[in-house]
Order: sequence, then C-alpha cells, then structure tokens
Amino acid sequence: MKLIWLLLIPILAGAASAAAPDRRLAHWLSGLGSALTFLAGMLVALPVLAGAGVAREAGGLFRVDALSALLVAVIVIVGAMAALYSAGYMEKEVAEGVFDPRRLKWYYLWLHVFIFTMLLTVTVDNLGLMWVAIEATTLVSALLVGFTHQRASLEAAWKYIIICTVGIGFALLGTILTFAAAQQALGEAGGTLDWTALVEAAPSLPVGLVKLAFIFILVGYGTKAGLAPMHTWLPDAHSQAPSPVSALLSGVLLNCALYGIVRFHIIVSGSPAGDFSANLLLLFGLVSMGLAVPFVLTQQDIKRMLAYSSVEHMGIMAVGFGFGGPLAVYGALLHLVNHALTKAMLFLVAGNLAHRYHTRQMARIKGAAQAMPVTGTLLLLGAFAITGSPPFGLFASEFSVLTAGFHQGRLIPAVLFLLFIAVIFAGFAYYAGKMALGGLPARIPRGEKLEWQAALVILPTLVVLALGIYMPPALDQALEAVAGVVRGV
Amino acid sequence: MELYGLLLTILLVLAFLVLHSRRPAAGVVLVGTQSMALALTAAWWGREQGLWEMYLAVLFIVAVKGLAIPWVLLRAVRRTGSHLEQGVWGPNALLLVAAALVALAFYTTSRWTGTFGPETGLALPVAIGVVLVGLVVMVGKRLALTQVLGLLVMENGLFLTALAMTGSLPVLVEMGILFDALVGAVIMTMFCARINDTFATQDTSKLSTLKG
Repeated sequence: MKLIWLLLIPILAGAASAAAPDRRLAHWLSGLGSALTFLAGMLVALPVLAGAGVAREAGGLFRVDALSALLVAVIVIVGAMAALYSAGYMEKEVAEGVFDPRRLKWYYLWLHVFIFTMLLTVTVDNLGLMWVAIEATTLVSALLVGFTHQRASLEAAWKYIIICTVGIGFALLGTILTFAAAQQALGEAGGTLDWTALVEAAPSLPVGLVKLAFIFILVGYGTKAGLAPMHTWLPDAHSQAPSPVSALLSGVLLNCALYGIVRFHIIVSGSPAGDFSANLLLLFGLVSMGLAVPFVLTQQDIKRMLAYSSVEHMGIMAVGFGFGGPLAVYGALLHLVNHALTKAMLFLVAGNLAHRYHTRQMARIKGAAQAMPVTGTLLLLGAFAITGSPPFGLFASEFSVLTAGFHQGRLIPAVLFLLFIAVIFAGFAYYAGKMALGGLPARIPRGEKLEWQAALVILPTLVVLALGIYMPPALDQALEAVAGVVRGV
Repeated sequence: MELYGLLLTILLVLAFLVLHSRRPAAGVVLVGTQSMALALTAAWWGREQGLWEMYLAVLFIVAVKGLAIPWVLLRAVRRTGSHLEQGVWGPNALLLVAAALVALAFYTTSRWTGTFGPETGLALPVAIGVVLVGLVVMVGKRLALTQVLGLLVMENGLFLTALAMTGSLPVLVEMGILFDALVGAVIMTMFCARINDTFATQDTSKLSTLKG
C-alpha cells in the first residue's frame, strides 16, 4: 500500500494546488503535497535501503529493490526542494511579469505530475512500462520547460520534446529487441519484459540480439541522460526552464534515464555478452566528460554552464559503472547522490542570482558575496563542491571511481578522467570566483533577508560537506546494497 | 500471405508519400491511413496466429492512431492556417536519401532474417525502413507540424517492428505506448500553435537563438 500512496500523493498534490482558488493557497498545498510525497518516499525507501528486502506490490507490477529505493529517495528529496523553492521563485516571476499569474495552477499540476512520472519510472518492474514512464517524463517536463511561453523557452521546449522523443524511440526499439531475445531464450510464450525474469534468464539470452538491444537502449536513454554526443537538447532546456525545474531536470531526471540504462546494463552483464555494456558505458562516459570541458570553459550563461557540468557528471557516473567492480560502482552511486544534491542547490542559487541581477550572463554578475551574503557564499561553496574539491562529498565519490580505474590498470581512461575534472575545476573556480568576489556594480542593491527558503539551499550544501568528511555507516551499508544490485551479486 | 505482403507494401509507400507531401493537412491524412494499414496488418497477424489479444491492440490502434491523433492534428492545422512545407532540401533529394536508407535497411536485415519465420523476414526490413523514412521526414522538413508527422511515421515503424519481431508485446505495455503517443501528439500540437503565435511562423529553422 505504501507504494501506491507514494504514486498517488504527487497526483493529488498537483490536482489540489491546481484547484486552489488563489496563489497563496496553491503554494501552501503544493508545499504540503511535496512534504507528504517526501514522507511517503522515505517510508518506501528507507526500509529497503536498511536491508528489509525487495518490496513488491500489485502482484509484482511494482518492485522496489535497493537501486529503486536509492532513486526514490533522491527524487523525493530534490522534488521537495524544488516544490518548496517554487513558492518564492514563482512569486518573484509573477512580480516581474514573466508569465500570466493565472497560469500558476498549471505549473504546480505539471510539477507534481512530473515527480509522479519519475517515481513511476523507478518503481515499475516491467521494462516496457518503464519506457512508457520515461517518455511521460519528457512530455510533462517539456510543458514545464516552455512554461513562460517566451521565445527562447518555447524554442528550448520544442527541441527538447522532439530530440528526446526521437531518442527514446530508439530505446523502444531496444526494449522490443530485448523482448525478442527473451522469446528466443525462453520460447515464444516465455517472452517477458519483467526485469526480474530477464535477469534470471540472462545467461541464456542470445548474444547478438542482446548487444544490438543495448546499443539502442544506450543511444535512446543516453539522449535523455545527457550523454554526449546526444546531449544537444540539454543546455537549452536546463537554461530556459524555471530554476526549480532546472534543479529537477539536472538533479533527478537525468538520473532516472541513467537508471534505465543501468537496468539493462545489469541484464547484459549477466548475459553471454559480458563486458559489452560496461565498455560502451565507459566510452560514452569519457566522451561526455571530454566534450563538456570546452563548453564549461567558454560559457557565458550561468545556467548553461551548470547544464554542461551535468553532462560531465553523467559522464563520471557512466565511467564508474563502466569500470565496474565494487569500488567504482559504489563511487558512481555515491556520486549520483552527491551530484543530485549539489547541482539542484546550484540551480536554485543561480535562480536567486538571476532575480537580483536580472541576467544570467556571468560577465554581468559580480560581487554576489557583497550583494547577497548567503547566496554568494553558497555559490562559492557549491562551485567547489561540484568540481570535486575536498572536503566535499563529490571528492570522495570521484576519487573512488578514479582509484578503481587505476587499480584495474586502465591507465588511459583514468588519466583522461583526471585531466578532464582538473580542467573543469579551473574553469568553474574562475567563473564562480569572479561572480562571488568581483566588484559589485552600483546599480545592484545590497543585502539579503534570510528567508526560510534559504534552508533549501543551505541544508543540501551541509549534507554534501558532511558526506565528504564522515560517511554514516547506515548510508555506507545502503550504498553497498545498491552496488550489490548493480553488480548482480 | 499475399494480403500481408500487400499491406506491408502499402505501409512503406505511405511513408514515402508523407515524405513527399507538401501540405500538412494531406500529410495528416496519409499518416492516419498508414496507421489504419498498420491496424489491418496487426489484425492479419492476429488471425494467422490465433492471438485474440491482438484484436484488442487493433482496436486501440484504430481508435488512437487512426482516429484520435489525426483529429487532433487536423484541428491544429485548421487553427494555424495552411503553410506550405519547404524541405531543408528539395523533395527529390529527400526521396533519394530515404530510398537509399530503405535499401540499406533491406540489405542489413536480410542478413539475419534467416533466424526468424517468413512473416518476420518479410516485415522486419519494411519496419526498419518505415522508421528511417520517418527520421528523414523529421530531419528534412521545417514545419513544426510536419516534424510531428515524421515522429508518427517513426512510431508506426516501431509498432511494426514489435509486431514482426515479437508477435505482440504485453497488452499493458502496448496501451501505455499508445497513451504516450496520444498525450505526446496533444502536447506537441499545443507547442506548434504556441510557436505559430509567438514566432509568426511554423518554420523551425527560425528557432535558432539558443547556441553553444
């Protein structure tokens, strides 16, 4: 029942805030809804992560193992951050006349339905239904990307929906091929898309068909996960969406798509195709990291820079899964958590800055630490965190992946990995330093009221900082359990 | 089997006609017809294999892809007025590219259709061909609405692939895919109308401010 509630609450929350007669009540209902979603998510995820075993519901239609539970936890955390932050953010947008205030109800409806589709993605066992859920995430989030109806956001939304729908068409082809592979292995009537059954049947799946299926899956869901060179929609959509939506796109939507790839990766790894999927993940991961480098270094728009940084970080996770082995997979999963929190927080910080400076151009954002002491400080901390500087959690996760690479004797990928993150660190530190510490232009008002919403940005920063210094045994065990699922042991 | 071959031929020819058509309204009708042909193919398959679930799928394909989606698109065409499609390249060049891709699809799939039965061997190259022609429509055309048509042709190709390779997907999955297709068509036509109002054109090559 817990799982059904988890899926129902976001829909009810969206409907309730859409039906609210005035904006104030809509903000409250949406906030309350996201808090309830958070609670329901934790009730589902925590027992599984603590080792209570796989949770099943509705006759096995829904299935939550440790991997699903980790994603559920990340979705409800970032989802609550985004929904609560939306209240203040959207009020400022209304004040600036960015969109017609009567349309706010649609924003909240789509926001919560978007969270629902992501939760559905990670809790259905059937890979065909997972495809349906991932396609649904695209459709709903495109509405959010184009929400303001401004020219640039319409352009971004159109490119997003078209590129991702075509991309995901390939993933459907991959899913169909997987079904055909299961039929060949188990007989005509044995065709199945249930992940559990496919993992069991993996050793007898035909090699050629499995390899072909995975290529389509990787290209299809890789488009959605922002892996290069299929990432072209990503910087447009992330930069044009309202900031809370950017936080959701970058913090969790990309992870949901990566989750889809990992589910197939587990099947392929157990099949006679062996390391085929791991090697492809490694290759695409490195290409994504490498391609992000020049774009991060030459960006002028802060949200575009953060978007390209997401391409880099999805690459880091793909490399971690590609290396394989306990340490690298553990590192990739820890990185997933760290990146989700840090990048979501940075997008919210970027939203604060954009409202104060009335621009996203980094050259025109100067002296943020003077103008907005809290936001400016968090910008600096976030920039150091996202580039993997110690003592932040991302240092620990990147270091795990890197160490695993060297241990396995994969020198060239490991050295490239190190090189890419070093260069991106330099670029990020330069831009963030200039934005936070440069001379404050006279036209920008100083001072920042410490509102409760600041906690939405401060808390994740503290968590990411804490994770770099001390790893709680409970989280450590949970991540070990998830790594166990990914490695098929 | 002859009827089956005829239906497959119709599916492929209709894909080419969508690529060749310059009026969005005509394109919508062609795509709708193609979906109906797809439903007939599925019905043939269901009768041949004695799969009763297939008739359910046929019903859904007719309702969603054959009627509902074309209706939504035709309304959008009426709302935004008639635009003439100017492809990225001339119509003949696009047809040549599509023909080359279809030939490639026949060549590559012929190498491993031996492992499947004759029904699959016949349908698979056509299915992949339809997907590729749909892709050419998406990439080679400029109007927002025609790109949606390309997407629908691709989807029909994917359905045919599923039919050819697996007989039938689980009913729940098929319904989910059709649901997404319908919602997707509604949302995309909404964007088409919005783009039309905001940019005073449906030409997507004018959407080019976001770079780098």
